[in-house]
Amino acid sequence: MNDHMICRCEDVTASDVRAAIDAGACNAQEVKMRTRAGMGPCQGRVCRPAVEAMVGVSGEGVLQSTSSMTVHLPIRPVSLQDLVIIREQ
Amino acid sequence: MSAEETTEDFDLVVIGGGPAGLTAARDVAAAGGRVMVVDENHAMGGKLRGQLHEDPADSSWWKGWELAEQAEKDAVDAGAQMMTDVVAWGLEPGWTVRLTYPAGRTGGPSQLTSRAVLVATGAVERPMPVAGWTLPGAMTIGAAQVLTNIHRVKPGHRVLVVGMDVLSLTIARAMQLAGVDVVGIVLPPTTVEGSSPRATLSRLAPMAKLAPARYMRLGGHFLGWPWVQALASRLVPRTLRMWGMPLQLRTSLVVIQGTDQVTGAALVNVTADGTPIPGSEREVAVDAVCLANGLIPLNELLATLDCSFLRSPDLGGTVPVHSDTLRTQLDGMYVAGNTIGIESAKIAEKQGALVALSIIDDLGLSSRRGGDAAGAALDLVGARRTMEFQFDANVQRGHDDVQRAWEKSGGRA
Repeated sequence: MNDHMICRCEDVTASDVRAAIDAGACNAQEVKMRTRAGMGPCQGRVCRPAVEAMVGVSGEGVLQSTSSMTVHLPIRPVSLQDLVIIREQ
Repeated sequence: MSAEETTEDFDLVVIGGGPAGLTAARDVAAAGGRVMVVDENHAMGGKLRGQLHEDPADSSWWKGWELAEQAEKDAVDAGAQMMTDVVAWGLEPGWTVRLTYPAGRTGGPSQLTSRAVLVATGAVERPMPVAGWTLPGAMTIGAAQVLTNIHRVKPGHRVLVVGMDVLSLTIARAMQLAGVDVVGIVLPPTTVEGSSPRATLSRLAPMAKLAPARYMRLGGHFLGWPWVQALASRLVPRTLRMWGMPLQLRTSLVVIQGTDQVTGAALVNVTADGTPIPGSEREVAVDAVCLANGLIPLNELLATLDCSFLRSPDLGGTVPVHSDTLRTQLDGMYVAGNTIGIESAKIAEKQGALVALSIIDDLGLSSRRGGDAAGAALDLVGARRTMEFQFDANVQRGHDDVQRAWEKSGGRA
């Protein structure tokens, strides 16, 4: 009844995320690997905090990354034209 | 369809043309630096463009878009270049800023090289996932602000606001002034962390601790005084009224209703610690729901580089470790604005002026002005003490934690 969308880009619901956690995922990156949450066009910009709110965040003090759900280049969708230009350099 | 490669070379590339980025661009350009500001929006100014409220200091109106235009003009007059509708999608040490053009390439460069980069990318809204939040008519409070204050479009006729903080109350008032019927301001679903009446009140209570005269000077004209006063009483009423809008301190959202668009919302009364009270469920008919769950510093660009971060609830999220003069652990990389902690536009502007001093000094643009950075860092601490809209009462504690982490790291990741 209280199921709802977590990752709009990849159509991942709260019950999908809960199932991943029940199956052993213990951080946002592991939820991403099991469910594809955070793998769509926005690359987790919207759902990363929502996934973290469900699975929890680990680590105190100084961290080597902003989140266990890793951030990759390109951080935003890039047109093929712009990538082609780089390759032709 | 020209696909020719273009690279332009600068002393400083600023990513994000909000109050922090534009101020820094102005000062570095004025010191003789070759500066380019890139922003993904159609116009410079960042979140400043959506701000509209009565300035507490003198009861004049704080019109963000006018301030944004002035800040842009000042930077351009100083010699800075500007590009809108362009997205910086990557940074490479050295520094190269990779660009893409979502609205279509119009001959702009695919990359910029620069001796220094200022990341002033601001913040994003924390989502509040709840059944129905993806329906048309359900939006974040920031979207409602953009619709109301920038596009002059009502987010809805009958609107429910979910979440109580300085931002949501300010925007609720702006919607009301625009003729929207704000039917209520309620708490987030009980599953959202920190959404209980007790937690909400502890965040709002610092406002009530101000003496009335000071409160009125700092923001009371806008948000009203009587309801704030009531926050200080030991017995919190179920409902307070802010400019006639019911602030329902013991009511939580359950779900947003509708099939093709928002038609209503289910609500429930909760105990002080946020436990739903059985039998109190009810529905309210609305055509829009605005969700306010706070802001998070946006740090994706830096997250792809080799620098370290500190998780700080006081600052709203995870921020790059940086010095009090806004240098990062990477040579030639600087930060300012909400990307290092959620604060007001006035603070962001001061951070922009401060980081400019560091950049001018490091690039050797002007030996005369560089020495002021330590003083400007102290001014920032002072300014925070007298700020009217403090998103988090402990924001200075957060910045102190970052400074300790910086000193411990010796300025290296």
